[in-house]
Amino acid sequence: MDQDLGNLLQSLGGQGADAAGAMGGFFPYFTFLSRFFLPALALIVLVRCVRSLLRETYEPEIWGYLSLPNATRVALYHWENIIGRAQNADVVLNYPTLSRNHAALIRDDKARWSAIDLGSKAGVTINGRRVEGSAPVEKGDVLSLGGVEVALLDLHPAELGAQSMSRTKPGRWLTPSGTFLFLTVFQILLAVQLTISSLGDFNIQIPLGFIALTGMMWGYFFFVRSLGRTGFEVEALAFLICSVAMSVIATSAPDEMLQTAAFIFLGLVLFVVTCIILRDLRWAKRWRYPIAIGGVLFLALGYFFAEEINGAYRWIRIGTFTIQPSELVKIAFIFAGAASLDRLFARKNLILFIAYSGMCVGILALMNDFGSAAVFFAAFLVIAYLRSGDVATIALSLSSLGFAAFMVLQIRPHVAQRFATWGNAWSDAYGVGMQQVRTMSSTASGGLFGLGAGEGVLHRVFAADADMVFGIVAEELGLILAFICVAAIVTLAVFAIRTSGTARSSFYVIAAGATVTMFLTQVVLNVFGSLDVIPFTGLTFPFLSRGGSSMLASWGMLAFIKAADNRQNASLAVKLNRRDIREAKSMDWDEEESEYYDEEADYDEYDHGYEMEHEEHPEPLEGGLAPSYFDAGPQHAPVEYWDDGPDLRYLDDEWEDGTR
Amino acid sequence: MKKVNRRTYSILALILAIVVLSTIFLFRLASDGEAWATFPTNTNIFRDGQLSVGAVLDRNDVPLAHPVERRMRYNDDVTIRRATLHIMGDRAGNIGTGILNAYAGTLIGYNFFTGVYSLGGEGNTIRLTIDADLNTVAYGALNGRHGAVVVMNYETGEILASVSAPTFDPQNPPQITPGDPAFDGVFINRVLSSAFVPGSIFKIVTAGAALDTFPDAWNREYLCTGYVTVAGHRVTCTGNHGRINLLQAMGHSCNPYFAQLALDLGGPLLRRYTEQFGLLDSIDVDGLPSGAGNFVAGADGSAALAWSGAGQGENLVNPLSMTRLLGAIARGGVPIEPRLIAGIDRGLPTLFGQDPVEGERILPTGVANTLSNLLRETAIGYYGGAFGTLLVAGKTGTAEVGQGRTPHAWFAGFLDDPRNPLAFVVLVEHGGGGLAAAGSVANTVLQAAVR
Repeated sequence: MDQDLGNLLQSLGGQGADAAGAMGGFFPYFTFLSRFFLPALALIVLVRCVRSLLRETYEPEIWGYLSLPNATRVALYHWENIIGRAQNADVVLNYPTLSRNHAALIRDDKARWSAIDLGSKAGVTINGRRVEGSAPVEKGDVLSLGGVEVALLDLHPAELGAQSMSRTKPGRWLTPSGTFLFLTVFQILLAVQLTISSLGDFNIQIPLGFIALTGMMWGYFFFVRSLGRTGFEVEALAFLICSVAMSVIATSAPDEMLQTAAFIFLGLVLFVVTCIILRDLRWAKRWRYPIAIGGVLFLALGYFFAEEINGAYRWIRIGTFTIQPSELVKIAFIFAGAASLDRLFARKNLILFIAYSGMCVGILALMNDFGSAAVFFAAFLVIAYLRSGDVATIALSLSSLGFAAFMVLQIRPHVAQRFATWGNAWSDAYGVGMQQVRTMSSTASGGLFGLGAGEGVLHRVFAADADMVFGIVAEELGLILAFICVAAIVTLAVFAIRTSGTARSSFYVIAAGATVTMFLTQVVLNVFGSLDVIPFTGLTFPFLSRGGSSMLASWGMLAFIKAADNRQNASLAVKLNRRDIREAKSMDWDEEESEYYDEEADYDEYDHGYEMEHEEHPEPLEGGLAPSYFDAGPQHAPVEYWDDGPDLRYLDDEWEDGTR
Repeated sequence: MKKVNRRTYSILALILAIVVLSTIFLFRLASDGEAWATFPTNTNIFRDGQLSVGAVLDRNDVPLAHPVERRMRYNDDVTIRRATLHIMGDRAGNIGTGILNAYAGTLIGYNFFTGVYSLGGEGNTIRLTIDADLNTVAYGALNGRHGAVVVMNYETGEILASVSAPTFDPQNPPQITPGDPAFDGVFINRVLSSAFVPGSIFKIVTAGAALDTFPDAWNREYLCTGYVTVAGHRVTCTGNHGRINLLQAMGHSCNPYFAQLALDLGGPLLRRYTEQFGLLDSIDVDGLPSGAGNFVAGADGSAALAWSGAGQGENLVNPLSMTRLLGAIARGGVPIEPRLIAGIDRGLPTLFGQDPVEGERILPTGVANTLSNLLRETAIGYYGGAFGTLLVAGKTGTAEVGQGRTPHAWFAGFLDDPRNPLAFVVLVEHGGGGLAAAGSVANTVLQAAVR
């Protein structure tokens, strides 16, 4: 049947088996045009995602207020707030009796607050009682920080709901469905071009694989949309790279198209599951230890049972399947490294994490997988810095790494050889420099627009579709498209950095930071290693390289970026406060007052998955304490709601105007 | 939280790394991309290390190499293949100046923006100035002897024939053992890349220098007694010519005459003229560098300087540079730069043909014309009948190569004929007498060229 279809298509193209090489048919002209349309479409998708991510407003959420002795009020923008004299504290109290980082006020998923003494000199008391370590704070409690008295003013669920309604939802500037439509055209064009170029040896899996991909993409879109979420930039970027990955598979291993599509599906499932775990910080914290320990055990298992492929022990074989533990353990490593603020100030936790990292990196080094070891180490550095801010620790780690690297080069000749090859690939172009030489050759051959999908030759080199995948993309689809894949990963990183400003917990900030660090390090080592700009290590490009483990891990890790996406209704990994919103409505909150409340997500209708929360707050507000805009009076107009404290850095003008 | 948030900016360092590394890579790609793409393991354009795209034609559209079923095939005629080997280059890439090797990037059609892409996947076509048939005649005239033949149109710079021997069939390359005298220097294009002891053809240079320096040069006389003693050494001659003038000396190729002329000119001046005549520096032939010559000016009054004037000693000249010089003499003192590429067909409207490029004037017109007359008179007066009706101007050469071996035979000249403006140089290694060996080869080639 494959053959019949192939023959039919060939006769349509007008030429014989070597259709691509013949001038007679229209296929060469189709290829000629697709070379320009494909990068253009990918660029449109990328630009739409970038513009959307840049254009969106990143409004903070307010979780409570602190009323100060001078009768002013400071908003608490996070679930975790540091109070102290330091300029970079979340609540700056410039009283001489306070320590620089005096105390932390922390809220949990159930809206329970607690105070932590961060080893202050003068101590913390709640209603006169001394806090040892940590103690719960009820609303209205008076905290004394070195003699400075502050009161915590909690927000009523209805106020939280009103806040949710007034926040901007993503997808306002550029509709995600439009981006997905462009992506679909991109995928169709790729599928047709690849079908044409494979006519001599047609494989039905090529179109089927793309149909599966497009189907999955829209299935995911409608599934998430039905849950009321409107932010899709992060997923669109991942789908963009996955489409290119399918193109690479179609040339290098067309029999694995459907298998790859299945791995993308499994990846999506893992992504959704991880998102759901990350929704609830208590869950995430509870799962931390089992996942972390399971991860390192899995890695150790890999060390004992892995098969050697090309000098590195990276794969465990189960039947016909191979698993690469170093890929999947990345998720566990991020779980282990992420921590909420209450844990950041305990040195013991950091030391535990350093030990854990040492174990992971050590096992990877024993497995001769130095590329992955480098990725884990980079993630370790970033996590350690995010957690401690301690440059000395980082310097110590780096110097010990230098020592370890020296030892490795002494005892592992093939690693030393890789360093020796670095920059000299051309002098041994048929030997140790072969992979880099072939990658550079093919990259130059492709030019900016490529030779046409399916028309390259680099994929014939062993493992090129994993370690040298940048070269395959550049050769067939052009340098522009290859760099668009790199830019997509960079965009994810910029987004993670930007969105961390409004994140609820440092857990999410650290997890997202570690994820993008791993992604970026992989890209650096994969791309520039294969191009001989840095030593060649043989590592996967997230979402792009062939390999189920890599695909699964990339999607799983993407959930950490999604969990930091705190825009209203943006993320599957962040709960909607549907109940709060209902409450706000029932209390006669006038919908008209909020320009940005729109009908596309009708909160009552789509009220699945809401977990009962705030049950301990059924009663209405107590008058005096709540800074409520329910009270009439100009000073409590909605704008007042944000008007607090000196720090308005989150509020850009446009948003303020919009609210007014 | 604010602290942790601010620390996330450290991740920007990795993005910066990507930007820096990308920039380094793009610079390398821009400067070395062609070399990368044309590496023989690139199977987009090579099969088994052989170029599989592009075609090379001679000036009459005879295909010298073109791909057949994605494999580069040379011309079907084995003699043409042997005669054009050094112009085309071999498959192993040993003849680096061959078009297939040096112009691989052009044949592929590489450029930074579109890489090696071409619509039909067939690359570009290069048309040469070479006439394959004339090359075959020249190769046949060498008759198995090692040597070089080059014929150039001195008004357009087009190299019509360029043969280097020994040679082999590039379609079926033989096993070549190093040191095999039958394949002595087989990978060197003797026309383009070699430099040889010029012998008596260097007397053209000495005569040109003298004509430009001494107003009385034409009538200047020296005594030849079969030899002349310079600083205790004898500069020997083939005969005892007595007191002779320039034309007679040129005709008899009298060593003592040119030895004394060189002593009168002085080493530095003779060297300056050699350089001015373009014989010392490498010249650029459509991007291919010619071999550089050599001239060691002996001390004034020394035997070394005396021998230099006669073309012996440590002097070396490149055959193509010599051809360019003869062309300049023929057309009044201004050389035309030699070229090998007539045009490149990139699948777009073809821009065949380009204007000849003039080099720097080497002699005043009057002096050049006098020198031209001198060579003309020499040929008429002393080589009578060797060239039939051809209006040859030129000079024979017999270059001693030492070790008691038969000397190299040279003939360098041009046709003083506006309808056939051809400059030529023939070298027959160990050929013996200049006129008998090289002159007959030149005659055969020129008769074919003017037909």
